[in-house]
Amino acid sequence: MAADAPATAAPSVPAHGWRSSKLPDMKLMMWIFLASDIMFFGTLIGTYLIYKGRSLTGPYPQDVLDIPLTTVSTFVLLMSSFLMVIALDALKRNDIGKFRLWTFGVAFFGAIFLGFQVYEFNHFVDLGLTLQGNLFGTTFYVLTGTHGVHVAIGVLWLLSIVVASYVRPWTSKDATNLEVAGLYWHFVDVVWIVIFTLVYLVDFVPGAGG
Amino acid sequence: MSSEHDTHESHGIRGYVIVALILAVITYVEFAIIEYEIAWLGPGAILFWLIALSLAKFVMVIAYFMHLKDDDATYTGFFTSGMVIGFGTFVAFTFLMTLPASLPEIRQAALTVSQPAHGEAEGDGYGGGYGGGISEETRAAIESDGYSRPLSDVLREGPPKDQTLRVTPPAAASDGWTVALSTPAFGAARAEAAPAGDEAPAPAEAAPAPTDAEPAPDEAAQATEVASFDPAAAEAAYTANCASCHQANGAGLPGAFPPLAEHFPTLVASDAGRTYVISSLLYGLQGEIEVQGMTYAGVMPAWGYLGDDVLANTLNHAATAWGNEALLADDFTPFTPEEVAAQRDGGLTAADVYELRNALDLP
Repeated sequence: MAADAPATAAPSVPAHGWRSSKLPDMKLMMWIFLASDIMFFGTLIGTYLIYKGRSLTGPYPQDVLDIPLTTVSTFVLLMSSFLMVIALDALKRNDIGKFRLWTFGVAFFGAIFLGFQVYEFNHFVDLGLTLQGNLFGTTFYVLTGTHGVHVAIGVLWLLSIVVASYVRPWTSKDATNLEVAGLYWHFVDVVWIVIFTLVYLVDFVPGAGG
Repeated sequence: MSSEHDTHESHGIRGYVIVALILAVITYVEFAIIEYEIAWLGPGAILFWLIALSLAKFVMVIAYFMHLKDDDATYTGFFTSGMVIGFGTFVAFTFLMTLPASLPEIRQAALTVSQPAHGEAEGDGYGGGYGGGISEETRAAIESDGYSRPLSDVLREGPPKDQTLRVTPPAAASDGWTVALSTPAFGAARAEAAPAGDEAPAPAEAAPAPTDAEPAPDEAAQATEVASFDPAAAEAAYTANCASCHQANGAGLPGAFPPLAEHFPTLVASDAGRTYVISSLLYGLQGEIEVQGMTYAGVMPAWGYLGDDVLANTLNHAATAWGNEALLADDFTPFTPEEVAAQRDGGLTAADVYELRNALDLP
């Protein structure tokens, strides 16, 4: 580390800076972050699955989970991903109005998803499922709660982009900024795809007995 | 599409719409499989299709919406390594967590092997917890336990009835491992030992070495007053199974795990209380309780898979250690494996035990 510092300051370095990659830094950083984040979620999902069926008392997954409701919220999140690519496409074509509209749409859909989750959590607590009550509650809330925090961060990020585009008008040159936010957003969507199947649907496979 | 050279060129709205439609249809199909209880597919097939469909969605979002399909391979490399490491962690974790549970005999046998009391743990350091850490030395010691049986037999059958297999690590580097079969009814440990060196063990060496936490005089005093169980075996059983939550000093963890010190004697003052503590070991306990003014919402797991002698030993340690012995009723008699065995037919749940606790109005 220490040996690198003088090397980058050496006069032999070209004026445009010393680069090991031609890839945009922000985008590369985001993919590296996503690689670490998928390990994080992998561990949480793994923990959920390992403790699955080991709760000593209820409520059990079949008692509380609501498949039709969660299907709707899953659909909302999937469609927000669609809006995200449309927004990026618009920005690349310098269609700033559409870019703002769709980016706001993504944040709006994300907020709807969060609304579903807040409703769901409230409802589950009413049914007796708490963070400390049993293993299902602990692993379920930690996993879906962490995902919800990711969604919330994404919503704030996208809203800040919409605001920023008014402060300093964005052009197609800013596409990488939006693309990186989009990568994050799609990733959050992808994680939910896995959670929806492994946490929600699998518990209701007929004849499998949870 | 793969012929695109410029990574900044989009697929066009049309491609995105098609992908979004496919994602929506897959989500509906997943929902329909569950909601309409498709019974003509077996549970295994349904599970397969649910996972396959979600995998398809996963790949489509990453490939098309995140443009990984046409983007630089470096990104794919990073993301794929993350997925592989994440999945590998999950597999290793699952293996560690489920292997001991699926091999209860090995786990139970391994739990009676004491942890080395000094310095660095031998083997892989998993000795007391999950049964993976029987070192070569211990293995050799057990194999020469005087019965000339292979280790696998010892582990499968467990110690002879009413006896506890104890393996004591060497107290000094020059000593050998000690294997003793203690009979609770007689208290004294019977040495069947084989040291790693050439010398035969002196009888005194075969007795379990007192640990730092429990001075020898105390142990001797206990042995004379309550002669019908082996305090060292009781402590070993407690240390292996209970101490991680209730702590080695019996104080528990405030708010998480209730204390046993100064509390356990009040539980076992009556016969009903004795039944309750045995039941809580066999079937677990679930529910909010209050001990010494502090509320505990925790969960006591069921320990029924442990042997009657091990369970009786843990109870006897809790009853007599940490000064509890002085608080016991005069007519207290130690728990016996038979007393534990008698509660095994109860068929209670952790919630039943909780109700039993409330019904008895225990402190």
